[in-house]
Amino acid sequence: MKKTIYLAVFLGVMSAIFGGAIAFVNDLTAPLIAQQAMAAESAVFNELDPEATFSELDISEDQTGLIKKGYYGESSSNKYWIYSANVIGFNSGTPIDFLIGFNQDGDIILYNVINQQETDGIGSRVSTDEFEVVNLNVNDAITPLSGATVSSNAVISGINAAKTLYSNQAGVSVDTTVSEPEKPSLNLGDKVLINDDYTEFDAICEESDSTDEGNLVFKCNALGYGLIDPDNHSADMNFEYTKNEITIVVNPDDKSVVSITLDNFGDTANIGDKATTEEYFETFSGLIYDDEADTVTGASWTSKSIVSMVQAALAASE
Amino acid sequence: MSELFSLFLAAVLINNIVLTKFLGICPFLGVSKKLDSAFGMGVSVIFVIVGASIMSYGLYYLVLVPLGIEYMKLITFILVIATFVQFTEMFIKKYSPALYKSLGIYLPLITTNCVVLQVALDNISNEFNFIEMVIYSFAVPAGFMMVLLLFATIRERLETSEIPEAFKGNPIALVVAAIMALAFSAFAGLV
Amino acid sequence: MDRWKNFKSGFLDENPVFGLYLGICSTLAITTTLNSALGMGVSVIAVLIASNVIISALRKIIPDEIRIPVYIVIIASLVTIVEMLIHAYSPSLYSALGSFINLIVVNCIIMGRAEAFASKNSIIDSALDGLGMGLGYTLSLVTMSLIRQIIGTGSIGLSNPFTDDVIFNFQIIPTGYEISLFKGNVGAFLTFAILAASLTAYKNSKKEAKKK
Repeated sequence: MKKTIYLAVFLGVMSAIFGGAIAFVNDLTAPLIAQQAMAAESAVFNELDPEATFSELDISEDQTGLIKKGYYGESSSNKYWIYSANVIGFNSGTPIDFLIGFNQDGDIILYNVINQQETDGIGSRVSTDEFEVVNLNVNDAITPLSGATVSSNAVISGINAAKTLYSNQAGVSVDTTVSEPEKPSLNLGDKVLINDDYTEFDAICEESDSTDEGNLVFKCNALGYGLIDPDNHSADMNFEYTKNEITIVVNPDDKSVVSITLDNFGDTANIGDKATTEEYFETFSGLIYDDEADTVTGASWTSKSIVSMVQAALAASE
Repeated sequence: MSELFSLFLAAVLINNIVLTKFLGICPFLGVSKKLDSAFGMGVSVIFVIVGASIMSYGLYYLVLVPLGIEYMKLITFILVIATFVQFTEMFIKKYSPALYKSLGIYLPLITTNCVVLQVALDNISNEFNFIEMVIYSFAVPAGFMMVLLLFATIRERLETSEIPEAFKGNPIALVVAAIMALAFSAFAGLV
Repeated sequence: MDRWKNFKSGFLDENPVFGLYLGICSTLAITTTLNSALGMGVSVIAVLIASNVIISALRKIIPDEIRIPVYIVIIASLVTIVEMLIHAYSPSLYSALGSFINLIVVNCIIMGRAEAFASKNSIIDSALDGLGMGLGYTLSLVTMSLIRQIIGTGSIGLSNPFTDDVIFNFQIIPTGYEISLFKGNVGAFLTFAILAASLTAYKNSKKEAKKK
């Protein structure tokens, strides 16, 4: 009995001594390891304020699940609350991964998209200065990008989640009602007949093999403003114009449009893309060959390009 | 439910612990010469891993995490495993002396079997919940046992073949392992 | 025991990997690149020497009945410390070696030497034994990784684990002619089999020579 106690005590003492050694090394190395985990973000932080030191914040209060990590930074003159968010934009496969940071006055001092795979020229604009986020105050509403509402609204919802955390953690009150994203209204112009003459748009539709609950799926492309009238546009001369491409789903029973999704926008950014928004495409639902379709003011060429493809798809469904 | 099934399938076939992850080679080479000892070893390993994993998992989440001493996990786990193997050995010695004799030195060697420690560590790093942990802890040694049995049957046949002098014993066993690994790599796209 | 002879035996005659088949798991998994092989080899040498020295120093006071658990505590602590140091000071090596650093604990070489040698010999002898076995192990890992990396990727390179600076890197076999089989698990088993067979052949030929 005595022997057993001696053995147990010996083992216990050994474990305690070596456990202590490990604890010592742990204290030595844990901060270095934490530094590495922050490596990607620390490059951004350093650019923001080289004098501030950053540490991790607990973000378990976040109910939305959009915030992945939080950081608190402090320098002699400023304090920062920075959040890393993951939101799903238009591309459901890859989330938009961005950093949003506030200072002690509630100003947004950091907005940096680390990774996104949104559609080039449309959703990808959330990474550009066009998407006004930085220098706004936490109580200002953020305007979604027209023509890229899905992507920008996704980012805005991530920013709102960060704002909620920020108001709790920094003790700054945030007027959350102001932060609701506004949906830009669709500016519809004249109506046109779907069965009109659109030969100059050279719309081609191919029936694709993929089915959509018994509906017909067409992959279509057509010329747009940039390719039909190449000498008469005043837009960015560096912009490469390509064909507009959409996927049209047609109901074979009543030969009506079920849905339209954008595959490629080839016209002028900020002008023609008003006619490639989800809201505009929704106006085509249920239309048949003899119906009238809407066009978007200020984007009539692209609208007609879309209509020309709808005509081709509906004609092919006959 | 289907995720649990894919977890099981992945652990047994696709990420087979011996052929893909290279763990458990020592007993693999040592015990696989005869089919019955291979079988006994396989069952003992399953028993030890399931038992030791549950205990390690419990200790980690109920003691180490609340006390903030997660860095002690390596010591804790390996001590748990050693103790569990000791108990298993005493248990087998008492209730099945024949099995005890056939396993011989290999039973205490399960302690140093990389598979046991790796499964205990994986359960933590993969952040499994309890059910997933039990399934994984069963699937991995099941995959180990399956390969062990396949291997033993091949080796029993090898005994009667003509092998170059230098390759006799373990080297030819490793060549067989290479071919088996090649065969198993076909499972890569399964789930 | 003659110190020098014991030191030498760890290299060829009692090569822990290809002769005694100890520590195989890491050998097969780690040897895809020269960097990982060296990193693992050095870690094992460090743990081996440290554990041999500590166990030898304490050998007179460790009660015999619990010697195995005590060795386990010592070795596991050393491995935990080495893992933390690697994680902090060389993250690239840490991600290359992965969970195999932790598996050094169950590397039969370390426990085996502790039981067979360090518990019975002086500190200096134990330290040298650890160094010899460790070097033999590292040599085996390096040999295997050289073969696998050259045939599998065509190039051979080394980089500083602390700063990720490339020390050297050159292409020996032009790309397109390499056998990528050797990078994966099949190649690992095959290379190991060939090296083990070569060692056996060498030992057999020595035995034949002695007979004559």
